[in-house]
Amino acid sequence: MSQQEHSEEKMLIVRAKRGDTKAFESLVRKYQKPIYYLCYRMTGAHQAADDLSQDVFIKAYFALSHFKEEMIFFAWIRKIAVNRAINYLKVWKREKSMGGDEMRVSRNPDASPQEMPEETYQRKQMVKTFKQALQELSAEQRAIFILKVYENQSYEQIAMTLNIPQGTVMSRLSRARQKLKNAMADYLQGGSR
Amino acid sequence: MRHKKIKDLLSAYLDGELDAKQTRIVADHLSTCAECQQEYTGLKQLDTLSKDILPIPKDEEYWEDFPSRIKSGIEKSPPEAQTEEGKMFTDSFIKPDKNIGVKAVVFPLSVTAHVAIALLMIIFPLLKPGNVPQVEVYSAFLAPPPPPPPPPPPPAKRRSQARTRTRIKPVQAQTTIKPGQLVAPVEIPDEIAEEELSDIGIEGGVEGGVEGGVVGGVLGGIVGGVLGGVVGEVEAPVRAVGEIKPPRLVKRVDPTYPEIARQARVEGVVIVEATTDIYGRVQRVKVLRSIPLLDQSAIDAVRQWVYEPMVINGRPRGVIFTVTVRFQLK
Repeated sequence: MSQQEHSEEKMLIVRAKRGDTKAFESLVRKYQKPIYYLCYRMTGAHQAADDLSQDVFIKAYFALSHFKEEMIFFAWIRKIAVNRAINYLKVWKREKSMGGDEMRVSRNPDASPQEMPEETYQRKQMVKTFKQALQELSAEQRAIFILKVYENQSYEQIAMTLNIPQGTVMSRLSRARQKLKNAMADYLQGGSR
Repeated sequence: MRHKKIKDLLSAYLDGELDAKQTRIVADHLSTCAECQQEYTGLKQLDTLSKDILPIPKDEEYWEDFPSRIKSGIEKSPPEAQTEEGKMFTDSFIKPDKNIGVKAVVFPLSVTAHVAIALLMIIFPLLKPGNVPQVEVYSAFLAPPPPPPPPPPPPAKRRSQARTRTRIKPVQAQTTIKPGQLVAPVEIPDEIAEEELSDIGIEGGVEGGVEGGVVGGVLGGIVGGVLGGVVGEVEAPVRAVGEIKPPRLVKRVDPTYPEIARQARVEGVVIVEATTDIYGRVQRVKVLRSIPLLDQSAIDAVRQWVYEPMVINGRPRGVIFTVTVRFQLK
């Protein structure tokens, strides 16, 4: 991020804090994609990701007063997104275990096959298996894995985002990778057992 | 053992998150351990594969629409949510407070508080027993339906008989038996037995009820109720039923309300069966209707009671009757 961009963003935040929805809108436009994809990876379904990312921005708008000058806006909003996603998944899991019929997250990513028409069958299968495996992880494990692999965060950053010790990040990530690796054994050449 | 530990470190090694020492150890191990090497390759491939899987990109229309939907979402939010958002926001991080330091302080405090409250609830009533309880005692003499008319004893006859006998005996002793002189028996042998003892028997029988009782008892065994009646031999107590009226209470001691029963707020009626001796003192007490916490107190009290001696047919008799002791908290 260039210096100019940085100060521009700061200006937008200051304006948004004053209640300028236009300024906030530009901020949303800037970060909607990464936040949406983060939510999508966390929930594994478009509808849930859509709801969640909308919710994250709305929450962020009302929490802007808590945003400090020295913080990085994307890191801040990502923290909101990850924690809300974990929350969401836990609630969803509880509802599911309680027999709630609210199946907002599709357990079968194949339900929207038109989303990947150009992919070969094998790749489709692989993606499906991967998503399935990702869904099998606990919400925290998934969050850590996603933050590490897709967001390329350091353990320290992940620990701060999730308010857990670094050692926990390390052990959970190791376990998450182990699980995923076992699930994906068929698609990994060298690491198959 | 080392191997398993290092296997757990591989993930962090891949991310370059290990410190220099650990990195060296893992690297050394990797160069020698084929299994770990394979594991490490697998992890690396997993990362590549994961990064390769991208979410399906949304079309521009969706992204164009996105901010305005958020705007409407903000406008739709209830005003109280907006003002309270700051607090709500912190709450929305459902990450529960895993602050063990706080727990370590709060937990003992909580335990202490609970124990203190529990103790307070136990001790406070003990210190403040509340109202002084009242024990209401009254003797109730249960009157069953009138019994069949008692067999009419001929008291006059028996008494006169006894009188005549007693009167005769001294005469006999005086006239027929002289000390140191042997007299041929005039009557059947059991009369001799009487004579031998009559020296004491006369005096005892007439004057001393107590001493006479002993002698009379012996004599009574032979002669029956005659002598015994006079010297007041103890007969089986009669039940205060029907015509036999319960004796009048001469001395009564109020039962104490047991502390534990008062604490437990136990109330009720204890019915005991009291048996008086010929002097009217309560000899035996038997609980008929029991309230375990109150029984002992009732028994202790009734045992000290003294009744007017009951005289039946001119002889004192023990009486059995019931006493009802009512324990009542005011």
